Amino acid sequence: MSTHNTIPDEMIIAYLEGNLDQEKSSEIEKILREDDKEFIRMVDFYHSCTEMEETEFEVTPDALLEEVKKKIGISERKSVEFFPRIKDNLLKIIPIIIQPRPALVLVASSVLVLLIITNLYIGGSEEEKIAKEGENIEIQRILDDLRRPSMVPTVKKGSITTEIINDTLFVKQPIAIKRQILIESIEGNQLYKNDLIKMNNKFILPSNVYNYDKVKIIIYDGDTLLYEKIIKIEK
Amino acid sequence: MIIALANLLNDKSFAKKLCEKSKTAISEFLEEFCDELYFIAAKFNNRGVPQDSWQYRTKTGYSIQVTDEISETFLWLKDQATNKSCAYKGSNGASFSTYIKTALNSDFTFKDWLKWKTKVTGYVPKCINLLDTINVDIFLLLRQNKSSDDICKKLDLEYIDYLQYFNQIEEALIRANQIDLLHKPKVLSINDNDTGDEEKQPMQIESVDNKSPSDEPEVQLIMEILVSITHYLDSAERRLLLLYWGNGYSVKKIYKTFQLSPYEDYLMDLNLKSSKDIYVTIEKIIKKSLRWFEKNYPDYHKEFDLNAIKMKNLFKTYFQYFA
Repeated sequence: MSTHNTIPDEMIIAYLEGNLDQEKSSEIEKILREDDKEFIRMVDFYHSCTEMEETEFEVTPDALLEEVKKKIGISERKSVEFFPRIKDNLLKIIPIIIQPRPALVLVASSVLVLLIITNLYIGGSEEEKIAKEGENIEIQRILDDLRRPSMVPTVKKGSITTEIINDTLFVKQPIAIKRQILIESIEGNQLYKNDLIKMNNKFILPSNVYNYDKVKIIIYDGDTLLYEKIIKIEK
Repeated sequence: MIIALANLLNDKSFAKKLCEKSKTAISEFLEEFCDELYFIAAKFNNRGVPQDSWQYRTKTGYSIQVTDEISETFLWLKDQATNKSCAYKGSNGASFSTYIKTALNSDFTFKDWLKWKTKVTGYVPKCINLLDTINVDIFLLLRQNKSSDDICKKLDLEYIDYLQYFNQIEEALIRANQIDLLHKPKVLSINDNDTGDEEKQPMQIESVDNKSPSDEPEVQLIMEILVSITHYLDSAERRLLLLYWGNGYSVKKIYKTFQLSPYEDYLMDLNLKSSKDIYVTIEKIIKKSLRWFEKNYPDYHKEFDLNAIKMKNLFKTYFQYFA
């Protein structure tokens, strides 16, 4: 028979997040070791938390959310007159925008062609190429968003962040989950391997990392690749 | 540190307002967590169905289809969130965001939802709807607590066919973690489904819910033996069976659980190097339990003609319904 009270949900979640102090954490661990029911609760919360952390949620369309709010009587009636006013102004501006202006088109086209040619011939340094790849990904993301015109992100999701300061790699994850971190050369040679356990982790970089200008930081959750980033090594 | 403290204070005051059902707080909550709430609502309504085919969980870029059932569940989750926010004290260091999302997405909330849902209508879960119509009919009659005899008569079924359909229903519900929808079994069976031999009639024991006085000592004995076996097993072994049969976790999830600090010793104790090793380990636990049964209750072991399959069925029923 258990001799303790049920652990509050909040405390189990704080334990999983790694936010309890050493004494409380040991106390919870002792109960979880002894009591199968509490252990099952912890496992349930662990998988629930991990799932919420790892899922990329569909973004709820504003119209849908507004409908829900209306249904439960908390709809914020945004200025009704505001939108017709914008609409009227837009209707006035549109003919001005679409009015043909051959001279302006000619100048704009010339500038565009010049820009493309400059870009093609000058090329740019390695760093610029990497930066451009980033821009392309960003452009692709914007295009993807445009394909879903009625969906606007409502929540900024927590994510993993990595940073190298001096000879230490700092890795922050939103929840204290055991994951595997690898440092690889760009060619794919493994240089370092360790486990992430806490929310805030730090690792002293091994000396072989300094043989490279750039390395890849990779984080796995089981077999799933969660994170990949190329970092420049300051020597 | 100051930022963390400020966040915690904000969390506390927000939870308090949500608990008081402040319209502004509910509105803010929905703005902040609507994506998660729709995900959970879709998940609850689609338990036992692969994620790819959820109506709501389409791949990013496709339109979202929210059914009436999902909308109802969304509103139910909103009410649960206001209730659960009252329990948030903010004194243990858990952020309100993680707390509320984790609590709402948990199996415990799912079980509460199932109770609410089954009270409202003659609810048939998705995993049963995907089976044949006859399974749906049997499921609805089982929900009305009809006996197997009544069901066979009503649907003009042979008992052996009924058993086959019942097993399909049970299996689907276990996979979807909705076994609670069935009432505790009327028989605690250790049948190995060997129906070819008339001499080998499966032994069936009345359960604690529906026992006849003449069988009572035997039922108690079987239950006591099972309890003793689970105590005899190591903590890691018992918990493995509890997670696998009692809670329907996949081997992958169980392995991930045992990787969690400080439970890595379970991996060593059970000699698990990958999730697939769990199947072999379960077989080993069954054999170990059989040996214990034979040693401590040799007469019953002989009388029940126990083997690994029967032991497995006995364990399955015990962990699913009684543990």
